[in-house]
Amino acid sequence: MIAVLDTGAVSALAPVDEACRARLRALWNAVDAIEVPAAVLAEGVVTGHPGRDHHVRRLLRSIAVIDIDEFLGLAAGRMRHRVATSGSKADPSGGDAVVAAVADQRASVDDVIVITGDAVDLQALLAGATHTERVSITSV
Amino acid sequence: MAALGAWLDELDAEHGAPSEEATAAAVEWLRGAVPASRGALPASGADATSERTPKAGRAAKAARTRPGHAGAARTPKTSAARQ
Repeated sequence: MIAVLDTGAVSALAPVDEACRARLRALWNAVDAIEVPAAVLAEGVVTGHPGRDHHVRRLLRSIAVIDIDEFLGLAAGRMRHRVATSGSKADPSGGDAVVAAVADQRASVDDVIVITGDAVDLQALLAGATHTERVSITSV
Repeated sequence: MAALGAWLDELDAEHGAPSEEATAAAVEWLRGAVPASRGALPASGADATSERTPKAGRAAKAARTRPGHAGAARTPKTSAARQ
């Protein structure tokens, strides 16, 4: 299983306290890989708080930060456009869409769990995914 | 993943391992994951296979609403050319 994190997940899983550490350990035990698309970093995972930022940066060095190529970028755009024109109340960001696109791509070869701070938007995006049946979502 | 495991071991050595309660709560949190659902969007949602970009969609809409303009007939070609 592969875990794909969004901005909220990176912030929430940075092991600044016992509960966060326990969650990160549980995730580490459950999956084979933890990935975060590089585009997520643009949404501001580093906030200027020295203690938290230290843990966030160390977390990012300990997991896989995924480059976004043209294929994934276009896939994310299609997923976001679909939500925007569907009448859904969800309003996913570009970062959310990239997370969904990476999750969908990874789901072509393995089960995927998306860890997110915005399950509504991710659910809406993944409703149009190719491999929806292999993706699950959990909120932080 | 090995690097993350080593860091978590390092943190446990420094602060002590998370309590049984915290560990159980974390496992329960992870088990709470829900399947992504194709039904998460309204049935009236847009075609999931559409390749049309938002900009092309706006252009097509403008063409269709312009009096006497045959833009609608050209829209598929315009969209295809953008891909």
